[in-house]
Amino acid sequence: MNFTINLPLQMECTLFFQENPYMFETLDGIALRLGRKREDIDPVVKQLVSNSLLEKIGDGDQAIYRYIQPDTSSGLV
Amino acid sequence: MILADQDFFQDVQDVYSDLTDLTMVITDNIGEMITNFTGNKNLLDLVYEYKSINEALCQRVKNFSKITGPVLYDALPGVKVVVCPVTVNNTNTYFIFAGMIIKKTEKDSVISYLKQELNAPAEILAEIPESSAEEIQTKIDKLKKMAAILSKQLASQKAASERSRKEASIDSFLQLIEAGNTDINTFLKTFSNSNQEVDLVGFARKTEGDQLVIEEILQSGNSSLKGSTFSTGEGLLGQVVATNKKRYWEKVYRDPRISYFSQKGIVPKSLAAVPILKGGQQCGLLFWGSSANEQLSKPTNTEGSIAASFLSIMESTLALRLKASNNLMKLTTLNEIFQVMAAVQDEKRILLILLDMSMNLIRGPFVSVILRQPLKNSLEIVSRGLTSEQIDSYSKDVSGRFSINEEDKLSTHVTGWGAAVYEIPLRYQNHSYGYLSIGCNGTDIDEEDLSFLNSLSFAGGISIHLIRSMKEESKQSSAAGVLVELVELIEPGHSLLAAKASKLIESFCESTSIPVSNRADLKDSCYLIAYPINLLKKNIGKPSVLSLIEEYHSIEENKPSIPTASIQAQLLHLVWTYIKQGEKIENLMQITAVNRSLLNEFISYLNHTNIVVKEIQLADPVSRQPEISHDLNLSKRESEVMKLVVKGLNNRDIASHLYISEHTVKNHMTNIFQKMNVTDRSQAIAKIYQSGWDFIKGL
Repeated sequence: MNFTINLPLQMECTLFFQENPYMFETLDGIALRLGRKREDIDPVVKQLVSNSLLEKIGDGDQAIYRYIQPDTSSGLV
Repeated sequence: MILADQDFFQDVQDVYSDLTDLTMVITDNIGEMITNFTGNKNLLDLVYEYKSINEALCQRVKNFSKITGPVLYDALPGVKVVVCPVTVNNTNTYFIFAGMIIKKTEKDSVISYLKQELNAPAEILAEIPESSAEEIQTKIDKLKKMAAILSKQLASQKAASERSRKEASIDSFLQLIEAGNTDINTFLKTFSNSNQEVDLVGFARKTEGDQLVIEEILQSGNSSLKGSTFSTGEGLLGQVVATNKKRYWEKVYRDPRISYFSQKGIVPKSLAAVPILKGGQQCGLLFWGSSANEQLSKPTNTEGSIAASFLSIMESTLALRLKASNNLMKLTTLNEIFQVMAAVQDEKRILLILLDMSMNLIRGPFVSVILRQPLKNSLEIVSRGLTSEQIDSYSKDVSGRFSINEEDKLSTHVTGWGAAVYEIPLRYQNHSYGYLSIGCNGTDIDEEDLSFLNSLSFAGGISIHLIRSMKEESKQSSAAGVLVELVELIEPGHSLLAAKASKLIESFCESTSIPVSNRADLKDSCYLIAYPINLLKKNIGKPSVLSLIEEYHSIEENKPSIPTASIQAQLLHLVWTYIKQGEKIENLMQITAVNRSLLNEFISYLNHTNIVVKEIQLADPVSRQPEISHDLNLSKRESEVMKLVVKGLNNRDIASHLYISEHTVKNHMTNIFQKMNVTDRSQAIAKIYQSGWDFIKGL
């Protein structure tokens, strides 16, 4: 499978969720906010879920996606 | 079978019939005549009833199908015929029949037999030639030569035909490639249509690991192998993949490994397979076979090899096209990421971008970004795919290596729990800010992805550097700002002079052609030179300001005879000398530490500015008048009232004009009289007129 072909859209979608880390949004909502077609966004969102960047809550058209905050830690050198 | 050039065959037959004095005809390999008889027809009719000659020839061809050279047989007792095969590639393709021959020693008995048994007419019997054993052998040798000539012609005809087929095949594949058609099915159809011998053709593609899957197959019948898989080394096809060499199998139905096909009801009698390469690496194989022929012909296999070569070219072209498209996508992505990074002011956002973009690209088991926080002497780690124990373990591991890896570049490392990780430093110039760490599943990250990650890390390093530099600069600017303001309290005299110097520097820099950089530093330095340099060093980390002030002090102390300091320091020295020495241009002439062109420009600027000031004074000789209004100490409202009084308005009109009550106007008038030290309106008006009209305008 060629992942790179979706890379710009993945990047766009990732940055969108990074900027809105507390957002819960459906696929249609994401498509609307990014000004993209649902069918273009669908595989990208699925990929982001598979990459553990997004969490999918629920199923079907009403499924909601949210950004998974990465683990943050700090320690003395 | 190659179709004979009948005219050529007939011509050769006619020549040799005449040469050998024999009646001749040539048949194909099933006994069908392909030439007309040449020679004595009477003799022929004598031997065969003409109607049955075809049948007789077919029977003879059948009998002599395997002969390897000329054979002499008796068409009738004592009447001999020579049959000579014409071979192509050791296969008897045509047969020359040449007769009739009667041995000299047998002539009398044969004629007697023909007379009695066949009632042959005497004139025909007289035409029968007789030959000695040597003559017969000579004739046979000539027939051999004739067969050789025909074989050679057939061989060259075959070669031409093969060449033409090959060219047609190449042409059809080229057309596909030129048309940009990259559909495997169309490709297989092109191969299959151009070759009648082949009724099975397919393409298997390498997938994950050592598995191959039949991506496309064309074969007769309903069953299909499409989608079936096999491993490298498994069965006939797997063997070709394992050895990476083409193979041809004859009578393959006898081989037990054919079960891969036969279990699906496909039973080829012959099979061939050729590996397909993409960019030098095997990516699959093309196979073809025949359910009719036990052995595939050489031209068919040659065509198959040509098809495989074109398929390799097509796959490589596709791969290159995909690579170019991917590179464009990556460049577009990088470009947009860089734009976002350039706009972001927050280190945490940079870390998130690095983290998530790496995860999107590599899809490894884990990604983390480690950032050094020098002020806190700590590391900040953001990660995905690591447990808290792994984060602890890895951060300890990394912190131990940070101090010794100042000059580090991309490297691989094995974590405490045994996972391979690529560590790409986040660097700017020779400073390392941290690492982008990408975990991998035992397989290497390919070169292009590493290059993308390197670019991403490089951009991350620059972004972090810029954010930290801006923070540092802002901190230093605010420290310098506080010190500048403090001068006013500690050294008010210096502050006044510094303000004047700063203003002069600003206006001079605006007008001069000499490039003066860091003007803000230069203006701040006018104030900061009041402080001891050690104090400044402790509180201002900005090297440009510190070095400027140090240079200035050095000029002031040493008074060098030639200019060696920077233009900024020279200008600072020049302006301060001018200000401190009473703003006299002639005092500047003794300065030696300043570049002559700078000095001349500065003096020229000062001369020009003074003239402008004088011109203003001449054009506005009563510009001092407004000061009188301050002397009168009238309020804004009182001034408005007085202006209307001068115009001759009474209290009622003034009240109406200013939207106030008449009583308020009276109050204002009382105040005005007191302030002007007059007792009534007329005295007030007189006093105003004594002050001049411009004052009235100023009201």
